[in-house]
Amino acid sequence: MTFEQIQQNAIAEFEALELDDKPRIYIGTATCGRSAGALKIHEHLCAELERRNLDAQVIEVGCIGLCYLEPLIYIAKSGRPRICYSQVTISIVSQLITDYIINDNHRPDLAVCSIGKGRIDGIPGLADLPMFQRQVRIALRNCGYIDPANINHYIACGGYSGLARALTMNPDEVTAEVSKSGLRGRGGTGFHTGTKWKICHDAPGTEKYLICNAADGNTSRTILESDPHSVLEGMLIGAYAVGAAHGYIYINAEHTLAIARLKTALKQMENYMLSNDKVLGSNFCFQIEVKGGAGDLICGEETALIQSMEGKRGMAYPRPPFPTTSGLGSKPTIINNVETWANVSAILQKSAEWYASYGTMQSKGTKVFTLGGKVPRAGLIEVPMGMSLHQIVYDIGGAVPDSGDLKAVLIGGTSGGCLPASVLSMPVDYEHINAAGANMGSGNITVTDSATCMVNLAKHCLSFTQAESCGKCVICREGTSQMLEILTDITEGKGKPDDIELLLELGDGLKVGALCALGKTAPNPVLTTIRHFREEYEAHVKRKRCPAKRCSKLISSSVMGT
Amino acid sequence: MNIDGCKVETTKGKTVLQAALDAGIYIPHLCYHPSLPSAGACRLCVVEAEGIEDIPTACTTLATEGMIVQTKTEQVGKIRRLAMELILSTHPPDCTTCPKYLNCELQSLAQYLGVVEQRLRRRPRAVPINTSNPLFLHDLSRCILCGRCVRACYELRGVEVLSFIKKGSATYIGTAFDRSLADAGCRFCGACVEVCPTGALRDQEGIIDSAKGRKASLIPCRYACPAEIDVPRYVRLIREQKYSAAAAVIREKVPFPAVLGYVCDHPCETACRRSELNEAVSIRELKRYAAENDAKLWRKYSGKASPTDKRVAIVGSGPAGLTTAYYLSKLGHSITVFEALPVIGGMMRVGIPEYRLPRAILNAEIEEIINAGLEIRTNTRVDSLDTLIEEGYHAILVAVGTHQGYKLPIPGADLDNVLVGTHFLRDVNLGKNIKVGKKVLVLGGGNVAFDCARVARRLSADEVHLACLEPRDAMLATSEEIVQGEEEGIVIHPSHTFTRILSENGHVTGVECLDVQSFEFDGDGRACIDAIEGSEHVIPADTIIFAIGQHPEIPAQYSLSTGQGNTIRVDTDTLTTDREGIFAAGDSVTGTASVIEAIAGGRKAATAIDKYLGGSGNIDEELTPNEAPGAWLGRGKGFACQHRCAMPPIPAEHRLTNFDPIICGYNEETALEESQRCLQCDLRLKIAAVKFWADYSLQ
Repeated sequence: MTFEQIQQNAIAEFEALELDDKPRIYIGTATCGRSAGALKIHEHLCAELERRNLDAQVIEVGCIGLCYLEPLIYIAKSGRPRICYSQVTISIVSQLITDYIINDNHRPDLAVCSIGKGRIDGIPGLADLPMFQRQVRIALRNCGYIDPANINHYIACGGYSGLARALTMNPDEVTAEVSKSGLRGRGGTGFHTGTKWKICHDAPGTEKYLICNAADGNTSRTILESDPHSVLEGMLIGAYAVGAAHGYIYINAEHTLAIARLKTALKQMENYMLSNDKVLGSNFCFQIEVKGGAGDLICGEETALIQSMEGKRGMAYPRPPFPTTSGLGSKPTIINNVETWANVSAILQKSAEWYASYGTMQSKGTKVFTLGGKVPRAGLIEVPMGMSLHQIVYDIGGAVPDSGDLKAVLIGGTSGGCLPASVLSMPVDYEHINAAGANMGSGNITVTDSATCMVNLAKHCLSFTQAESCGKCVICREGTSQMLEILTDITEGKGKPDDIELLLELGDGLKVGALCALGKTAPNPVLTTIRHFREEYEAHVKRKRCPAKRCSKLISSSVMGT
Repeated sequence: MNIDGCKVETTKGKTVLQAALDAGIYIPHLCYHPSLPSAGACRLCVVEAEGIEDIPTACTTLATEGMIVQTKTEQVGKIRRLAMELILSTHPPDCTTCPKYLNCELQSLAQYLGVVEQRLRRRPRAVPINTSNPLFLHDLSRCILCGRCVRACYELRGVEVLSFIKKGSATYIGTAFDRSLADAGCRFCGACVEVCPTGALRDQEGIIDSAKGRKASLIPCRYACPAEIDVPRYVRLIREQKYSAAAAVIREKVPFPAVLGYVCDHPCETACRRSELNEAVSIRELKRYAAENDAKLWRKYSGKASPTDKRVAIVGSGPAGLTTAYYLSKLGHSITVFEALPVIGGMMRVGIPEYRLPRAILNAEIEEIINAGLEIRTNTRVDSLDTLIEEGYHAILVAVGTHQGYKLPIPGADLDNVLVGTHFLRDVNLGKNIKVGKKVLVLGGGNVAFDCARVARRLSADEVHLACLEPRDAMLATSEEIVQGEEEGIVIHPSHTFTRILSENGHVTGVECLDVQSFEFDGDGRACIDAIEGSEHVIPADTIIFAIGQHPEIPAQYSLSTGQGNTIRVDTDTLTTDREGIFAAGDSVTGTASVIEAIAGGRKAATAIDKYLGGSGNIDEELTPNEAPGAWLGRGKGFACQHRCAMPPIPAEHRLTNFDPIICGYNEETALEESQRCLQCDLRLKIAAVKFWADYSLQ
């Protein structure tokens, strides 16, 4: 079967599904849905359909990004768009079966939006939702829309056409296309992907490896759960470009759903001649294997990841040599994260020019973030590079402007930087994020309100990174422990006058002197909270007061003092 | 390249740190060790290098052509001091109570960096010292997590036992699941302890004996051997199935490898560090295996110096005399050995029974010595040393052994059938037709007593008893002799003293004994015995053999001054007697000792005599190419519980009818198995020594 035939069949299957007389009920069963109870809903849904002897198709999909509204189900009837219902309960499900499936009442009062071609009265389209209006979904293009366990859905939505296109080009041209798109590694450092590939391609040696780093956070997991083929296609394209015959997906072994989705996807690829020997009839061969890790934070760092993959304890080692010239088994190795690979497949499916039309001069394309904290609309979002934090937090996240309650935004999770409300006009791209002492890597944007104590927040972040330090490098291991101890003292009223300066000195020492990115970014929350909220630290240290009234030891002491 | 403005040349593949240190430019470092791969963990060796972002660690940065490196900038100084402050914040401040005091790399570096004041929170690791493992102790409160031990265990040795456990501030060095070293598969090579820069991993208390020195304390088998045979080396060669090379290593120190393989009293095994795990390595059996599988490849490395015009007379052809004769002959001197008896070998031939040392083995080694080109005159008693001097000998060695036994001065001691052990053994070994009665009683509890008893058992005695002064658990014979003796039916009567020998019609009928409560020796070596009153009883016997000690027979005409037990007085370093040009060695100097002691004495005498004759005194030889042992050991699952390959003697009923050797010796399989039990303690000292900063500033 040629790819064109595969594609035609897939489109036919997908269209037939949409036009089928049987109603379809989609349910979001990615991890965010599951933690909201989606599996129970799923079970109930199936039981209810059987009990009422209704012929409907239940299809599991991934995360569409409206995580704050989980569990979500989407009901579609022949030729009509899917209608999304949020925060469904068992009784709502029963009700919807009665109302919409049986009685054709689509219940606009319970609906969030419609998804797909066509409109339904009284229900906005997905793109019209405030949360989606400003989003551009490239890496997340199929998430929550297609069945991640069905390769035909992916192919019907343009999947593997990027690979097919790449195979018509020579490897250098593929790398050039990726370079032209301006894509930079979404893992954090923002190294130009095309440049990285070229170094690996040009590195001496015939045996090369390719690794998909899926151990770097929840964004990766969600994409793999929702649209594994977008990542696998990207990997195939990358392998073809650099000349790798073996690829690995390194993932926390506890992420069982993502692993299951990947394994299903890999089997389907084999059936379609999309992996192993002679991919799509070409001379290109590529095998992909899933490797489970222990889930240590450090294993998201590429050198520690390699150690872990080699069966050793995950500990970082100094670069150079970089993995591109000496990585897995000391062979040239390309490591990109899940989001990067998902972008690669999109770039080859469309074009470098199309991709580069999004973003800023230096940071092209889009970036996926997990938006959370004190915003009404928390979820998985994807925005063009250069969008301001203000737009993300207010327009997408729905924070109320001028409420005075938004205190700070933590960008980059526990290794991120904490920026005050006053600098939200800052555009989000590599240059600005890094300059602000924050970090793109983890893809977390967490909004905090006035009830958050900045010292406590920094302490919370440090307690996590400290515990995840691999223990190898003195500056990271002892530096983070030392900072945590000082922060703990400060929150307990035991801060000393020099402590703030000491924290700054330790933080700068970590940034400059630590061995790997984990250590270098660990002080970010401390340094940025001191930079922007120094008076809060001083209140703790000098007046033994916690302005946010979060540090319980300080509250009780001040009560006792009055 | 350029370091701190100095032009530095280095070879490709070296790191910036190595290049700098080679050039005498000191960059502080702690986790780097010259025998280990670099880690970049301690952050002390950070430098600034043009074209490299951040501040790389010199130990992990390869030196490249034209590289410009700054090692002393303000920025790197700040990071170094911070790293040191952080290290010290978890380390106990009480340097002076640490066994590593003044020998600690951390202490030295803290001084170098001038870090004294403690601004940081003290975060001590309060971990008790773990002394539960054999040989090594872990004092993790002093551990700075530099990871050297882990790299030594994983990357140098491949044993993979010590690792980083847990993460963050909970990180420590240990074994998976906190198993004991033995259970974790440790090979007890000591590399971890050797590379530890602080007092965290140490040898157990008492292992390093400062009087003996580090080398002798850490490779005790080799240095417990009077001849300092390189035990770990030949055991390793056996493991590598290079038996001839192993035999050559033994022969580098002794001319009697096979004899020692049978009869050595193996002080090496007593000292063997493996006995701290379970049982000592069976070094003697391995030696025997090597000697018996020696294709004599050593001969082509063994040289003989051109003749000197010096003549040396050796009095006595025992192990001491023959050893001296052999080495002096190889140094080119003209040697004549005088032997009073009709046979060569001294006690090896007329003392040790044949079932312990087959004569063919002895003959072969003596022949090898004679082949070195020396003359042995048997049946030639030397009555006067002056005669030898008059005959033109330039030096004389007296090595006459301790052939003179004696009896207790008790009534009946001069009856017929009351024999002296040494004479009895000599007569038997000379092939004389010696008859003993049906019921033999040996008086004495040492190895010679057992030799007498066991020989008597093999002659015609139906019953052999052995009575001695010492209590059972303090008998002087080796446990091996006692066990084998009892297997052969010898009845032991410990804690006995003897009052008289009973007789009827001039025939011995038994010995009257008393039980002994306790005894001690006074300053003159006389026994003060506390016998139990009224405990008189008789051990019946028709033949009595005294084996209560022996001493040298030194003719008065020798004019040599003697000391306790009639042994010859010598200078212990040079073995010179009080007469110019006359030396003495072996049992006649030490009193009854062992073959290996005698050989060691013989070597010492050879050196001393050669020096006396104007030579260098160097008798060392390299008889096999000096191989560099591999540092890689590999995993050692079950290593610690591998038991000694026992070499049981043939059953007693089969050995009583003859004088055949009673122990068969290892076959290849058992020899290899046993050789694998060796801890290879010598490898540890092949790890490069670290230099302290002061060593560089001296350059």
